[in-house]
Amino acid sequence: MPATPEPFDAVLLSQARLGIITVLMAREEVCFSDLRALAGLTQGNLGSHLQQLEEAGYVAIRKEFLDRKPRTTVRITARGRRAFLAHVARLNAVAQDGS
Amino acid sequence: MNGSQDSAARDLEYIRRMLERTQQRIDPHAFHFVHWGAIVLVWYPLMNYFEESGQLAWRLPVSIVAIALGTLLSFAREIRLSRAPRLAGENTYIGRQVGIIVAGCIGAGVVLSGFAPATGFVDGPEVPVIWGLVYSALAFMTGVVYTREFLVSGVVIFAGTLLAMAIQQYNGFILGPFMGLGMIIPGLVAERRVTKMQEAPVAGDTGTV
Repeated sequence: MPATPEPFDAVLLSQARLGIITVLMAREEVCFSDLRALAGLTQGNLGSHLQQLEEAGYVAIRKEFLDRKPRTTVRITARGRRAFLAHVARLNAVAQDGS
Repeated sequence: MNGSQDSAARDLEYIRRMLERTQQRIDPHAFHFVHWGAIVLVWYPLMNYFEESGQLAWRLPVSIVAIALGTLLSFAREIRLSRAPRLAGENTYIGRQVGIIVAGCIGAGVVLSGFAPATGFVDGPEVPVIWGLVYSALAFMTGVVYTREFLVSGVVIFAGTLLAMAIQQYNGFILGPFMGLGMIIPGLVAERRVTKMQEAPVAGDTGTV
């Protein structure tokens, strides 16, 4: 009996969340407003997707004050990095032979 | 190709595009190249003209005005950009590398401009040739870390510098256009690229997901 292929990571099935994680793979740590511009999402949309990524343990969000202005930075975690790489490997396998 | 293969290929293409856009979102502050190029385009031939026509007294004031103008423009624009960067989500790593290259090359050029004539290695009127080599190295290294227009520019400026070495008497008339246009053209291309990135959303196709 052939082995059942690993299911896709449900968190990364959303293209918006996949985009966010992709940006973070390239940059490691990005502030909220930059991430919004790079991912092309609205503030509310980005906030809600980030919450889901944080709950999955894929990103860490830090809120601080810089020159008395609030600043939110988002960083990819080791778990998020692993999940992204596994997701890409799975996508590659499907794209190549449909399995 | 079945539906899931198609969808996976689309997602992979999306990831590739996002990575590319994120990494290529660079502002190398190429306006420095444009205005210094414009200054050199006028300044070096003028110096050569003063030298040839015997109006040597003009050389120092014109040089002071050229250097002061370039420095003032560079500082003013850098201060403005430090308050409000032009690109949201900019890849500052490459921008910083370009900054280090520019600072290193210009610093070396300034030192050589004093040291080489002082030690008798070159005569005063030959100093522009040193700057030709400096600009050529600067453009070439910028091309290595940023975009290929600067690589081409580095080669063109180097060729101009060799020509200026061969025809020493007219080095300013030769170096002015080679160095000036060699900086202005890639500088304008880079500035245009930054303007386009400012106008276009980075990943507008994901806005409603």
